[in-house]
Amino acid sequence: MANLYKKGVVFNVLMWFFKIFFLVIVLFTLILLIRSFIVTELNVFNAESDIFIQRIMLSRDSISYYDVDIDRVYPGIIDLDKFTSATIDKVLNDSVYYGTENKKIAASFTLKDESDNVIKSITYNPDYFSRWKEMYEAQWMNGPGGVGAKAKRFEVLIKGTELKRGFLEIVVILPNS
Amino acid sequence: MLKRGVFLGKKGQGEMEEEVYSTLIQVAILVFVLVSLGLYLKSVRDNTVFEKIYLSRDIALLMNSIYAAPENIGYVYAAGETNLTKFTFKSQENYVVVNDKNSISNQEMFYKYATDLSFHEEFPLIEESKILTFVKNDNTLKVGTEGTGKLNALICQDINTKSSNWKTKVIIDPGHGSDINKPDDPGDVGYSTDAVKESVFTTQVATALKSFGYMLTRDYNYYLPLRDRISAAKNSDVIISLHVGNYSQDKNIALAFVSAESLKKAESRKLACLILNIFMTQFNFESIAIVPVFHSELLPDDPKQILMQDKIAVFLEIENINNKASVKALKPSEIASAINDALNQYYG
Repeated sequence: MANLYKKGVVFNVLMWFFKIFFLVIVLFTLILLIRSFIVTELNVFNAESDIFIQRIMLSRDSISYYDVDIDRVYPGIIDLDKFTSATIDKVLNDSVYYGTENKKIAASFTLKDESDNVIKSITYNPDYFSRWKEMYEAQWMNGPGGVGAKAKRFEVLIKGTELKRGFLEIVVILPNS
Repeated sequence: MLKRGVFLGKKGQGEMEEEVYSTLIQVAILVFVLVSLGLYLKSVRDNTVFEKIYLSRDIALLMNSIYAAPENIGYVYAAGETNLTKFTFKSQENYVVVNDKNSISNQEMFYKYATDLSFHEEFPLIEESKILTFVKNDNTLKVGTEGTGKLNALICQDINTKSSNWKTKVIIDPGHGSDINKPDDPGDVGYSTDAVKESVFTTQVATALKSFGYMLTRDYNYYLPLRDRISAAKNSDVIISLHVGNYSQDKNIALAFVSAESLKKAESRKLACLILNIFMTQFNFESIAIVPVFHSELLPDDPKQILMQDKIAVFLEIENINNKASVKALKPSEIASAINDALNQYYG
């Protein structure tokens, strides 16, 4: 042992470790630096929520009035017959189908009369809507696991037994990841 | 006693040896680190993870948009400057899956989209294609690499319209009309350019149709008031009104207007559909469409008032007057022949 100490072998070995450690640090720093320049995130929240809303408004299987004879959808006219909780689930689950479990999007639709009284309110993907709504209200909006929301209000005609003016409020919630 | 050699220093055995080995190991580690870094940089340079993420999201959003659109759609996706040939595309359980077949990592990127269960979707594995084509027609969405094909061929309603002795029930109404030789003719040339006058064109098509045995509201180019046209068509079952469109863009299109409130709207739509499909097949139209007309929105003197609600009625706008080359290229006899074919299909 004394001989080893004399020759500084331990010191040299320690220096090796230090050098290797230093090299590894440098390598990782470089890799992290390079990775930080690689952009892999694309935020499509706005486009996705807008398309969803357009889909709800324009789809013939959705809540807008659809004339079967001339195969035309009237996007500004909400068909009250189709705007019921019972049928809306089927209509939306068939026409906006995200797979067996929808972890992608949830929304609520509220139909109001001219005086802003609620006529009817329905929810698409209600389980996740209530869960995500709580997160949104708790301002848990950033990063993976957070959610984003978009609200829109449309002036519409409501077609029941007669045509009435009213508003349709749509709130769309999407998870960040 | 060892002699002094390469690895034997003056100071004693192994000292030089130790230093050389130490240096060699350090150099080896350095080389390893540099090679690793080089390989990593190469993999970063060759990596297409961003493109894969971009493409999967872009195509998923496009699928959503296409499903959201109420009408038939044909869309050619070329992704700008991104070379699509090195990527593979497929759909898997509501995900657009994109991979780079040349990448070492072989890591798929995916993004979810919403389908419509009332649609039949075909999205096979696509490889080495410069474009992706999306065709939504009726209740089918096809994703492929071929051209959009008969993209605008409308799906005509399957209703029974067979009949015999039908020619005498059809009246052709050439729009507008102006006789410059008649001093009392107020003249209604319609849209006109130095190449074509609408009243002349519609008269030519109508007179060509007359040779097939159809009745006309007017058989030469003169002004005929709307009420006289309606009166002339009163005893007919089918009215086809001929016009030329006027659209600011230089596109060549054919539109068929049908009444949305007519008792015969389904029949009118079927006839319009057949005419437009033949137009699309035989002529160079970029786009065709059936447009519903609401009578409450029409002015009293609107020529579309000819779309009487108790008759099968189609108001045709053939071509865009501003597309001079296309309008000039249209031959009235061929247009007439196409309309005759459509009527034969309708009643046959």
